[in-house]
Amino acid sequence: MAGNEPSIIAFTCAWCGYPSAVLAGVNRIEYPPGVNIVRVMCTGMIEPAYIMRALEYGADGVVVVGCLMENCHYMVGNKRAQERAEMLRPLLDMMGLGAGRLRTEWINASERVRFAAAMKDFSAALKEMGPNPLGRCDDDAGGGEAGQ
Amino acid sequence: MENGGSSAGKGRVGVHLCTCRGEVARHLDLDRLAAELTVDPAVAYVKIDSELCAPSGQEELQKTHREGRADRVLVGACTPNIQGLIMRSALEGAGLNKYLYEQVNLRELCAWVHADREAATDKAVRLMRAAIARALMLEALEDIELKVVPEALVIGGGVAGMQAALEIASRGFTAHIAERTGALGGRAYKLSVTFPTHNCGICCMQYCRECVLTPKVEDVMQNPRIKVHLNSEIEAMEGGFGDRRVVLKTPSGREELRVGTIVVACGSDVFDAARIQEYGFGLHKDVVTTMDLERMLEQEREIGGRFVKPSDGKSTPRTVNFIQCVGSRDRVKGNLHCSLVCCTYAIGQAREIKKLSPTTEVYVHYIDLRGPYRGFEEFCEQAKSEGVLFVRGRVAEVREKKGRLHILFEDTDLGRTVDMPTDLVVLAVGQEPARGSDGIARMLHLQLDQDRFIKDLNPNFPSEYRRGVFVAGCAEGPKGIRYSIEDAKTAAAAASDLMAAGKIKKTRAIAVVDEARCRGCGKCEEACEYQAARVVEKNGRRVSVRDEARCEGCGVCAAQCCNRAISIKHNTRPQMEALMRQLLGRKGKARGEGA
Repeated sequence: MAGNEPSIIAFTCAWCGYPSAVLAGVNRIEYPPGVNIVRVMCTGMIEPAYIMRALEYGADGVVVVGCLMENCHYMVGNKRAQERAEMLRPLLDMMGLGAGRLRTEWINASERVRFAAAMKDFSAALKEMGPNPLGRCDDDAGGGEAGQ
Repeated sequence: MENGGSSAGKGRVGVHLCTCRGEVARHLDLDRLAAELTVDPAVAYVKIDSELCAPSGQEELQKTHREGRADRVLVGACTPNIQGLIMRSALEGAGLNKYLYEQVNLRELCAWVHADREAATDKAVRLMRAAIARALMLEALEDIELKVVPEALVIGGGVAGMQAALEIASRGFTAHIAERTGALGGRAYKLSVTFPTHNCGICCMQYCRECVLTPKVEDVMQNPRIKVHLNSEIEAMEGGFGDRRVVLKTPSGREELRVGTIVVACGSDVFDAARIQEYGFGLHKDVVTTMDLERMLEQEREIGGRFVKPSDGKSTPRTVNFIQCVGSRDRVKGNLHCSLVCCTYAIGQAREIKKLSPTTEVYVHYIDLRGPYRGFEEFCEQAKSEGVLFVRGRVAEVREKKGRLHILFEDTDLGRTVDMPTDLVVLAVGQEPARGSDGIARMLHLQLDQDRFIKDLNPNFPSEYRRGVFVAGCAEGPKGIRYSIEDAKTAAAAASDLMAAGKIKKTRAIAVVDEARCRGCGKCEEACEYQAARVVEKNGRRVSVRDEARCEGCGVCAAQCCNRAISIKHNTRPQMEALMRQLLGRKGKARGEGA
């Protein structure tokens, strides 16, 4: 799996993102195993630093999955997350990582097909982009300890 | 320290893997998974069980935990939101602090979504290692206990609001009704006939003015535990779960209440028929809404001689056309939802007209008849036998031709378009969210649904508790009287239970501020939707503080803080980083080996 399968950190909110992933499971809808789901209460709690950390640790891509806009369980957390992602993307380009490594998906808790499709699509796009130039965190030359 | 690589000495993780009666084991090599986890020095033991959520599994969890080999527990099984809660509470019973419990959803997030057994097992190893790293950083915490003020606020004095207040009062708590208008009873009070009794909305006796003093309203007015605030609107709300300060704007000035629970029964508004211009409401006097007709029928019965054409005030209409779904099931000019009650009440009105004037021709133009109530079929059949004519198809236009009102409609059963003169057109207007209900929802942090009605937390379980706020009646969507009353009783029971307990537990997983790092910039105060963050003067400097009752633990403030002064308990930055680090570690390398 580690070979050429892109590794993805999928931040999913507890109210829509995570349940949609669970439902994808219940309905046995396949998506690539490189997707690692991290459950957070709200996408609004994902600091830009978390996204940067994930990339620094070697994730090929980061996707933030939260409630539909206008329907955030915490009112506007997803809007904040969207704003942050929009700020980060040009920065990723500047750093040479590529803005395409960060995505946001706003989907309803019941939209399991959409969840799986989004993961498949992202994984395919990342495969096209090639691996994260920073490498995995426990590679000898990798980042990991940098930062803070 | 923060990378989770060297904290093995701090804690010992007990790992339980669940085969889920073979369901997980079929897709994952649990033996390999167990073997790979056992080598981790921080892992006290790895056990494989077949059904951890079953009584036998729970016993096993408890027994193992009591052996004391581990101080925290990680379960690799199914979703933490459902069965996870069972397993966690079993472990709590054996003395585990619930904040030292961690679960990986191996079934839904791994076993069931990856066909390749090898790759899926690799992923499972990764997920479990990451969870071990996080588990080692978990802190034992205690729930927050909040007091619940034994008073309730009921927003809206319609049938739902009145019923809720009565129920709450009957259990010994004070209920405040805040009603925007000058009278109790809401819309039900303006109805002349209701389904299924075919009588007025409240007392179920013949409609009469005495209804103003019907038992229900009278009960509410006379109940010493119910305080009715008429002509009052909610101006502000402050505080959180269990204790809210509510400012009411009343005719005699501002009034402040302190309440522990709130029942939102603010009802709905009827659709403004003028929004659909082709029906000519507001243009032609003889085009009325069903609510107007209610008033006509009521006055007819009381005073007599009022069932007449509004345009001349004396002649009895010879032809009446009801148009259904005005503003409902109409994405373009109205609302997409079905208003549920219009078919029933329009047919009731049609029958009433037939009773008053048997020679009047009554047509009901419908798309399809929807009456999700028992007895509706019979009600419909009776209307047909009484001579009410049902026409299937949309009405295109209502217009005036040579001083006479004409209705142009399609009869889909006959497959033709008809242009028919008519004396009275009645628009069966649907319901939409009450004016201002979105404001109330905002104040109470309730979500709105796709039709902008206030959403219950779980559509299948009305009045699941949410910070002591419950929704009843049409505020939650169009509803008949009976269903509003049911809602009100459920909401009142839930609210009373909370108040009777007097206190509630709330998760400690909320924001905390490191006051040494905080510079009091106030960004968190701006970001917090719940007004839980506030910058105050403390020991000569400005720092942000949290209101435990209000904080929902969403973490928006933490992400907004440039000084990293805010963290979310149980979801801390080091925990998150340790987790991600392990998730992204190279295959086959155990936690701790690399650092």
